Amino acid sequence: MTRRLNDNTPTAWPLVLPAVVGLVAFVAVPFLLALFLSLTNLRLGSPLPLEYVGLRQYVRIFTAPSFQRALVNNAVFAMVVVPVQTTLALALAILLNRGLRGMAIFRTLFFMPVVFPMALVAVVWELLYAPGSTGTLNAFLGTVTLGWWEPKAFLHDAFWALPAIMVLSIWQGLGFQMVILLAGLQSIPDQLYEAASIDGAGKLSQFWHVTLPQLRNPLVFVVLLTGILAFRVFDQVQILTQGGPNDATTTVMYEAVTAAFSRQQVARASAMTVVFFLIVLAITLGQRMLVREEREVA
Amino acid sequence: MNDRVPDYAVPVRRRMTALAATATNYLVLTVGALVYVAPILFMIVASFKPDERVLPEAGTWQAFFPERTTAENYGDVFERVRFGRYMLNSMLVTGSIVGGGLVVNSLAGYALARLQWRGRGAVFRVVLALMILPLEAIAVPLFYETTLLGWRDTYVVQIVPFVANAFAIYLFYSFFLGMPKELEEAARIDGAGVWRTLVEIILPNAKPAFAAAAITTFLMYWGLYLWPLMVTTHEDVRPLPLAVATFRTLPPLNWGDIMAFAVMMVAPVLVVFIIFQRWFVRGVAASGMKG
Amino acid sequence: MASVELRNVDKVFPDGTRAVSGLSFDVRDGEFVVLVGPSGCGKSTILRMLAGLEEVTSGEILIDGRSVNHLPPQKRNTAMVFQNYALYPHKTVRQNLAFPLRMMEVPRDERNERISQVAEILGLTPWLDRRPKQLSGGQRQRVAMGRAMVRKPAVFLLDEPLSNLDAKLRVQVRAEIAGLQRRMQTTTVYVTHDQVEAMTLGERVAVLLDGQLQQVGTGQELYEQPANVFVAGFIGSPGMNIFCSRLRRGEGDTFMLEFGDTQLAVPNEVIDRYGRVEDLLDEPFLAGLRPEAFSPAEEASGTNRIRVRVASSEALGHENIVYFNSPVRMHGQETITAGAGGEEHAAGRMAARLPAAGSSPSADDEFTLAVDTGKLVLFSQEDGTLRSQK
Repeated sequence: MTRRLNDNTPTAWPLVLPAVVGLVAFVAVPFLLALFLSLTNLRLGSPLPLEYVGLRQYVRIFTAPSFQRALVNNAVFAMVVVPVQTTLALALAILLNRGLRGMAIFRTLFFMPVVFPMALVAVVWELLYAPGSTGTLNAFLGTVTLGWWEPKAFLHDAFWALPAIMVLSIWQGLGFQMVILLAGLQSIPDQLYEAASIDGAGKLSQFWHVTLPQLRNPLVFVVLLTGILAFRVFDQVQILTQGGPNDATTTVMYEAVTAAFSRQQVARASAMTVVFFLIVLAITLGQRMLVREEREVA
Repeated sequence: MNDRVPDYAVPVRRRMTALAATATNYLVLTVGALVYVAPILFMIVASFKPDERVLPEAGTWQAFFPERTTAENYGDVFERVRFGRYMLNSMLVTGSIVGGGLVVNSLAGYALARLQWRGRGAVFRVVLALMILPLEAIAVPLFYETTLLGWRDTYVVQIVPFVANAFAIYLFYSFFLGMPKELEEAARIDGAGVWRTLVEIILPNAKPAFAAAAITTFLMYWGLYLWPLMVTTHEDVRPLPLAVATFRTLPPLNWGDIMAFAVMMVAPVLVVFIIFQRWFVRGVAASGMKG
Repeated sequence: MASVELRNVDKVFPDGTRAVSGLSFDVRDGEFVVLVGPSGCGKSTILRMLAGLEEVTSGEILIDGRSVNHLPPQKRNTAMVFQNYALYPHKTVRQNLAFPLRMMEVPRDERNERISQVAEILGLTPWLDRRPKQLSGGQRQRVAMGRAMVRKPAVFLLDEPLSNLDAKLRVQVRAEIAGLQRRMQTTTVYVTHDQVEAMTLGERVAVLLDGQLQQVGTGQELYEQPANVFVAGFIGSPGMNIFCSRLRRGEGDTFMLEFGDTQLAVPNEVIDRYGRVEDLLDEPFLAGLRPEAFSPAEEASGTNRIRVRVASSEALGHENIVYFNSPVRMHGQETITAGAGGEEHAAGRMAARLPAAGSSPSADDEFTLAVDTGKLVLFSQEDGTLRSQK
């Protein structure tokens, strides 16, 4: 049988093999392993034999107060950080898009934290959050509110710990979103604005009817990305608060890693990561549907 | 508001509102930038202050305008820990992930975009499916898998699992799809086989994709903390993010030293970023548009 | 140098589109053949099948007598000039020209010699070390041709190489291509949608429509003996006027063509070409007259004179193309037009090529034209093909 003219199978496979091997071995297999393990009772160092337990791990984690709190924390994180960070990023992008001189400097400054590892950001902000009236943030707030502010030990306060972590996360991630939105803004043809203003639209109207619709794809992308990141929160929590005080800042990943390493509960940890994956999947599918909707309309 | 404005005043007024708008623009940006950059300045200044003055003066002007400065913290860091080694580890690990990734993922992206082969559809679907899996979803089982392979406490365990990257493959795939087919057709007619076409014709014209992939991969893995925390215990192979966190808990608690560590940790990357910022921004924007 | 043969070639794309049907024709060794037709007629697909860039669904392609259906492009010894040139943007002109030679493993000395030769012929020598983006459109086009020429292939394939050039340059390069091919005597297959290019360049021209070959022949053959009404209308600018008519016996031994409310005398030689006259009489058919068949006449009397009213005209300097309301039903024109006075004409337009004299005619002018029926062509009513000739 003669091969088809354009069939390149023997040449293509060597090109693609390392990637395929890598993805299968280090992504697909662990994922399937996580699924499998989450249905067992595996606990390292335990005398019990390995057995299939169905959805028991899932029941256990969903009835555990700390995991429930973790889900709540992650959800709160997402619901606060996503809108706040996106709005700020959009505002900055708009300000930077005016084509004024020196915009590159501002853009660089706002983007700088993005190249900082989150671990580093956490350590620096720990200092800024120092308790007592000598802590930088406390002092700043005290001055700005003319003494009304009472110093807080942010990272040890059940109420302020999560917001504190949210603020530093926003600080680190804002630049990334801003750059993407700025690129999106710059790709909007001037003619659309010109046509709109000839049609009588004012600035606000133009923003609503030209800018936002054209920005739909980048916006959906950054919202999706930040949303997923909200559920991945780990580094800051592990370094600064260890999930405390009293689970005030615990997150899904923190619970998972703690279960796996401190308590050797591999099956339980796997169940948590599967739950995490399902949440990420839901968010992603939601985004894909939003984007597809636009394609159909267009 | 006086409606009966003389004709010659109208352009003046418009110019002035435009000027006011620009001024507000700059003002907001400047204030915003200062507030935003404050933590970085704080970090840098604190690294030059004597240890005992950092915390007590954190809430005062001396946090930004110190009375006394000293460079001894930097020396202290090197005395207390093997900073150089950590830096080397980070650079080695991230460099290998980025470098290996550029080769592996670009070839795969090209094969998916431009060649016909058996199994192409299946591989493509697998790549799409795996794209949404963040590291955290597989970290725990991956940890056990790599332990079984005996890779704990090595460079290998920090590099190999991350070289093949579904997102990077997709990035290259989109890029190659967008390249005009005629170049490859001309090369084929000229007698070049697949490999030759790839190396001589396609790759030299793929620089934007390489830049975007390199930068996004770099940003993904340079600051990685979770994974090294799980798989390494020995200083010899630990990267900077882990090292700074451990250093922070290493007695005695000298904030000056810690800040010096932080500054040295980001300085090289920051310098590279500032020099190549246009590439960084373009690379990030490119992956955003593709998403 | 080689002959090219297509035998009953079909091309169906994966989505079901049938691009080429039952195509068979040959190109002789050293011949310059042009494939011409409207967009979507399949001409580029045919070229790509010759190059090996598209698979042949059924049928055979032979180059120099060997079936090449399963040979990849690398092994076919053809060279192609793409519409967009497809120059390697990161390589200099010299490196672009060298690339195919390196693939052919031509030794360095010979390589350099061939490159210099080709550069000389095409006037590229001062640009050898520039990159494509530093060159003008015309220069890039030459580099594309040079890259093909440098290989001394068996067959040249050119895919609308002139369409990205401006009009003046197009005419100039057209002449150069013709000259080059005459010198090099390489078998050439050239694709274009422009029938003027086809007529001026091709030793033989193949007209295609919807993936099917309409006619192959020299430019003259296509012009004077179009195989069907499509070819008649496509070749020539403007195309042949095709109208519905019948043949009647006239006085004595003459024959008359119905032409609205008059009749036109048709020379017996024309009738003789179409076989037995008895078969032709009183049967409806389609007749064709080229715009040159009309000329201005002084008197309204005499044979083959018609009185026409102008609908519109185009002044070209040396001649005018005058469109007048046709006295007969035109083939393929469905429009109902309104004249200046608001009356409706349920008729089409005919085109006449008249010498420029003074001012050009304007709408609603009336004048007399003489009609020369010496080159009348007859087509069958049912399928628009040329009525059989002896």
